[in-house]
Amino acid sequence: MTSVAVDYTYSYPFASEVCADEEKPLVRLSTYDDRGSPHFFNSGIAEPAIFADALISISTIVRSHFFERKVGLLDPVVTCGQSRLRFEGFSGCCGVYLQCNFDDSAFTSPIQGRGTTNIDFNEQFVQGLAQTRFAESAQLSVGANDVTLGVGGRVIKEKKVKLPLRWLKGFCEVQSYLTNAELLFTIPAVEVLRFIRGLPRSAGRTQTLWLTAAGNTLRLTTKTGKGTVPVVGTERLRAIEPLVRISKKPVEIWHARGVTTWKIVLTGCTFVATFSPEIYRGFSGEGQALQSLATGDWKNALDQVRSKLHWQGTIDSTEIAEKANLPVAEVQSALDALATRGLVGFDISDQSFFHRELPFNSDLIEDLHPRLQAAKKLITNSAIRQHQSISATDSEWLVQGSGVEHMVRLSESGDRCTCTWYSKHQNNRGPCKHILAARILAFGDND
Amino acid sequence: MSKLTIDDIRDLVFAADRDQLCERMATLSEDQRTALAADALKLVSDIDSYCSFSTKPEEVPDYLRDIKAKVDNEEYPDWRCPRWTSQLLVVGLCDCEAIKSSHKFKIGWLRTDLKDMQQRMLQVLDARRPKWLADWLKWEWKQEFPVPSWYLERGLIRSGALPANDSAEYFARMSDEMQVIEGNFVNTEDTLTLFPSRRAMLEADPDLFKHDIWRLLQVDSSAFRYPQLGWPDLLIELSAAGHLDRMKLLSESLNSMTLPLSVKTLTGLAKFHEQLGPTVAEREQLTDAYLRLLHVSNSTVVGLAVTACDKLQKDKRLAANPFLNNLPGAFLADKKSPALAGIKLAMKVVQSDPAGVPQAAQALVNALQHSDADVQSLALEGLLKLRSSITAELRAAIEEQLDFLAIAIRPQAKKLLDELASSSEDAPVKSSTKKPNTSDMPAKQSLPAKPIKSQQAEPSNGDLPDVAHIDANIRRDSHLEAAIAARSASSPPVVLPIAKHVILRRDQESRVNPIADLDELISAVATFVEKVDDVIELERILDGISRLHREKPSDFDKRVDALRKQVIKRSETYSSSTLDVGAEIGLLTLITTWLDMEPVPNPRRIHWYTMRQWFLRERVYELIERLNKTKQGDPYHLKKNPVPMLALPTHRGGWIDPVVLVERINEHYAPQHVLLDDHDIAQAILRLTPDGRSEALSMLGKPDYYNGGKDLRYALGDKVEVTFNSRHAVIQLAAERARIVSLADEKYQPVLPIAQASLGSGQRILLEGALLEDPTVPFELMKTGFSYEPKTDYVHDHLTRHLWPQRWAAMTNPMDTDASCLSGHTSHLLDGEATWTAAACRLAILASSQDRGEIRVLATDALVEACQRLLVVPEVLGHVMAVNYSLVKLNRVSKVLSDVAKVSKLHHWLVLRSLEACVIELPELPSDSHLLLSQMVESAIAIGASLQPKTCDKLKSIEGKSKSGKLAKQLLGLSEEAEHIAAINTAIVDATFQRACRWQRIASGK
Repeated sequence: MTSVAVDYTYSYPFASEVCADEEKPLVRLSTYDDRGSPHFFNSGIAEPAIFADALISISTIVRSHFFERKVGLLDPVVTCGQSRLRFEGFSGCCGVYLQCNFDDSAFTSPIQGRGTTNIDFNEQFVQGLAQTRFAESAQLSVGANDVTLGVGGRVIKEKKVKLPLRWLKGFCEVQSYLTNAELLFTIPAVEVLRFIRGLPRSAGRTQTLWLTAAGNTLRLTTKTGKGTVPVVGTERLRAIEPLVRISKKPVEIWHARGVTTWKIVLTGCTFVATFSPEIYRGFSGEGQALQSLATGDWKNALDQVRSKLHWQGTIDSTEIAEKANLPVAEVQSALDALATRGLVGFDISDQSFFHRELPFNSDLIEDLHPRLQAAKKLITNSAIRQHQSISATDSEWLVQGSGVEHMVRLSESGDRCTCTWYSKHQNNRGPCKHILAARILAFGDND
Repeated sequence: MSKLTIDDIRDLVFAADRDQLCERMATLSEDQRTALAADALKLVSDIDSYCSFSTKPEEVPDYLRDIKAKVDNEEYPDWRCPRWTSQLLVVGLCDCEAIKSSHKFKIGWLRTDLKDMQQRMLQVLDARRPKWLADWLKWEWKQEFPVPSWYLERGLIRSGALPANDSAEYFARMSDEMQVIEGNFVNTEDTLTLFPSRRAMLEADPDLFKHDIWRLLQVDSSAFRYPQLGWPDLLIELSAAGHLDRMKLLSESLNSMTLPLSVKTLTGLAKFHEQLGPTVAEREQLTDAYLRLLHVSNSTVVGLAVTACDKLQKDKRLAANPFLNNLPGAFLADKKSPALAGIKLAMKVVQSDPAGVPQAAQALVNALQHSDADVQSLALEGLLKLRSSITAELRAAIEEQLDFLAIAIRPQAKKLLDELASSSEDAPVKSSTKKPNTSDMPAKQSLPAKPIKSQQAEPSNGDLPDVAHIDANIRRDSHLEAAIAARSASSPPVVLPIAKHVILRRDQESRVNPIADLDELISAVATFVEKVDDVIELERILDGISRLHREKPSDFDKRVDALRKQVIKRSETYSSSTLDVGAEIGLLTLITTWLDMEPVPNPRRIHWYTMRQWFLRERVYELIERLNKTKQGDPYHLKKNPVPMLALPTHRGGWIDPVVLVERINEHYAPQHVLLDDHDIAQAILRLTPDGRSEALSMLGKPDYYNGGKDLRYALGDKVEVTFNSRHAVIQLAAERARIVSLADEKYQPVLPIAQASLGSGQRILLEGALLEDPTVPFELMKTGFSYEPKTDYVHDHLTRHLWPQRWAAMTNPMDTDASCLSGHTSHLLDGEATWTAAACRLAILASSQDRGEIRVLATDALVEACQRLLVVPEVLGHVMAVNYSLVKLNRVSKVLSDVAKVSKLHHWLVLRSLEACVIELPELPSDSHLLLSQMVESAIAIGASLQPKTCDKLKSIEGKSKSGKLAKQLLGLSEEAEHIAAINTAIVDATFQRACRWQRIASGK
């Protein structure tokens, strides 16, 4: 059985800090991944106030836990590549995903360096950032090429954490929502700010509320329908208030299958916050991509597409398709599959994938789909057999469960299973392992 | 000193000589400690176990009898002294695992006792300095009840045994624990009592003044979150005593307010700063810090900064430019008071330094972004005074803000823009041509990429809708004709209530489809067992089991095995699961019977007191009876085919199409001579839609074909003579209520508007609804009724999943929902057709005032819909608000009404008229009536309406310069715009036209 969390140690060469350098604050971000502590670039910061506010908001979200009185301990990861510096992270409860993308205009020098790494966020650093807000100019270094390590070259900033697999899985699962998200509202920031400030406290925790347009403003409603997006846990939404407050551009609200994404545009930076469908649910276990992973047409293209990745800030699937001599749809499917393995992320602004490889042991990421693995195990153990074929498209299968046999019905009108998982969630969180196994046998191969 | 042996240790423990013990342990190497650890642990464990003195004397080991004797002779100052002494051995000799998992080592008192021995622990650990010290402390800080205190950690840091700790948690502990902790210190010989106060403790450790004390200002801790604990006073005291630099305290407190700290901490810091009482000269030195604080999001902090600047300005020590350049930050704070103070100060500043006028104008334009109407208004007043310095660019910025201003403020803004246009030779600047070019510029907002459309189309034009395709009766009943006539005659707009019996309910779009086959039934039950999203599923399942329970294909067991397992798992008593709750009505028994399972025990008692739930239980048990007869192979029963449930709703909301009901009887019951279940037919009768009854009546067979036949005929409007039959009284009572529809005539007044009925031998049931003065109702039946108003202030939230029985109950009598509304069932507010009664209005107002945000949102939804569909009669809503004024929180209600009004002009008009009705009916206007009046201003201006004469009379009684007084004056000064009546009448025509079209569609069966 997959363990819930693994021990992980961040071994930073130094603690991220804000220090004075020739009277300008210097924001030093400390990097670490399993291969070392990469140095990406040094530059001046064009708008220190915005840069600081964005990083403080990242810190607020990754340190927050929205259903328990806990502090999130996992640091964000940063990806550098082709004119983009992207921060990604999750709230401690894994229910809020953030992506903060800086472009070249956020810095006085071009963004350089390629790779993905963890970034140390600590309390003193965040307090230093708060002071940077008032500086006229500031410097940034992402990693350091001349790090003076402590005595004997030892690591001086070490954080031992439990790395929940749901956190890692969330990174992979949330991308499928972003790729399918649809833009529903573009609202002036001033209206969004008023809306967020007027939200009832601690509402929408157990019951989903919905956001709808009323006149030229937003309002909450209990009724879902076309043109509404869910608001789950009003306090989660409050986490983005500081950035909405300083935004001068309209806020975009995107929606896909119960997951909402709020995009806030700041000078030189786009901040994206994606909220899970329930406050007690992260993105892991959503299983949205499982069906296509089980039976998709991406397998042939996967290796070729992967070989074409070189830290692109935006991945052009048409270009890759041309280079690899593959259909674009297959490349797209392969990118979806790579996203579930943590190898690409999706930028909702660019509407394209970007290359990033999560800075963790690849073994951890490989086994992130226990439901798919369980389905394959059912097949390997011959625990599934066809009960009857009803038509060309419909069939019934019997799958051995714990103590009982589950009846699976595959149908064009929607698959069904008699297991508890299906009873609880139907297909809202992706298919159950029994349906997956039946689908693999009926329509896919079992590699 | 000789080598310490376990015998020495035992002697020292028996003597309870902690000084000697600590001294001797201090000299030991880590190897020597390890060598003694096991024996020591045994000793500690024995003493812990046997010296609790609840142990029988014969169980005390021999070697501990000395202790026992000493205790008996009262030779120890406290009988626990040997135990406390022994526990120091764990700290001094053993591994930290023994402290962490004391129960594992059978030393249950260890952690509790050690908490009281911080000084001794410090002494022992400082001398020992084990490798695990830092890790152990980290582990302890994650525990709910850690053994060490901040005092111990600080002591170890001070002595060099631990590195300095600069984490926020460390300083939070310092704040919490640096005080005289009550405990067993005297008895445990601990020395914390050496410090009579927190100040004494600080003075004994002067290094704290260099760094630690300042860090307290930078973290979220109790120090400033709970100033009553004394930290702010102490810091001021220490400053006065020369331990802390006063100026640094002033500046650090300001710097800390820029940090991302909690609201309470920031508020505490702001109060502390003011408590320090900075002089004007000191404030002048801190000017830059104050100006920075203008950009902070916390309103209290911004308020402090504005106040400080105000004081500087009064003393002529505030430079205009820096202040005015930073002022826009203050308008991004949430609360209005700092923004208002900022605007006033800006005006004062430019009075004394006119050079700052351009920056002030720029700042005031930014203030227009604030959400509060008072701030916007004051900013506009200021801009009016500064109009000579308003550039074309600023004018464009004001124009851009117009749509975001409160409606009541817009005329003021337009007036300003007109004045600016007339005083300028330039043509009015179009907003789209200007862009902000500095970061201080107001946040210019782009319009939505996808324009947001109002939920309610505004009355589009004056053309009459084409009504030719609508049936004449529908035109009349839906009040479309009346609305068109009112518009043509330019009569004052009015909302006419819709009679319940004319509403067409058989809408194809809200049809409920019965379960189709066994697979669907299995799936529906499996889902229902897990969660109840839609309570109508319960009715579908009852009907499905009723019709399909004899379908047992050869693979039935395979199909339901998983469900059986699920049922057992989900029926745990008092788990609040669907089946646990459903056990009360026999649902668990029904499902296990259908699935051929052994009965699953659930001791829940059936205690349904109201008829509504009683109906459900009786129907379920009747169904179980049928299933049992099938199982037992009752030949008479098996000769007949399974029948559907009569009360399965055909339409959402719990309605049953009378035609379908008669079809069910004619096709399934009558041909087989199956008796109707009393409760099932009674429930079905209560759910009959008003439409389709005569058609159903014409399809009905002779009344004596089946039981209850006469009653059903009577319910459908037939002129049959009903004689009281106590055996079928429940059907008769239901029929009497259903009959209301066909008797909806003014000559039959309700005898009891909301009645309860008693039935049978002492069993009381609630049959909530009106009893009419109907001569056809048997006298005996009328006698059963007595007045009953189940009024409650509680609002049942129909969105909460586990309250599904209440949601079901609300579907019992959809025609007459007053009693259910008074019981707080919010689902009735979402019926999109029926005019709201006083009970529904009361429920909506109570819901608007609830603490839970979700219910207020629900109330907003309901009111929006009710206004849109003209279901609210403003006079009724206003009356109900006035009557229930004392029950509600007006700020919440007014916020809900404000959200409702924003939807359209029609909504504004309905809200305005409702508020007017409320104001008129209130015996005297309460102190918070400004909340009502401000919404009245907003709505009246939005639609260009003036108040009714009665309202004006009432408002004239408000005198003085209070907020209410000013608003009343503003309201009295409003004049009616010529097109206002036409616009509202057009909106009413649109709404009634939509209703008529909807009914026409229903009538045509589309």
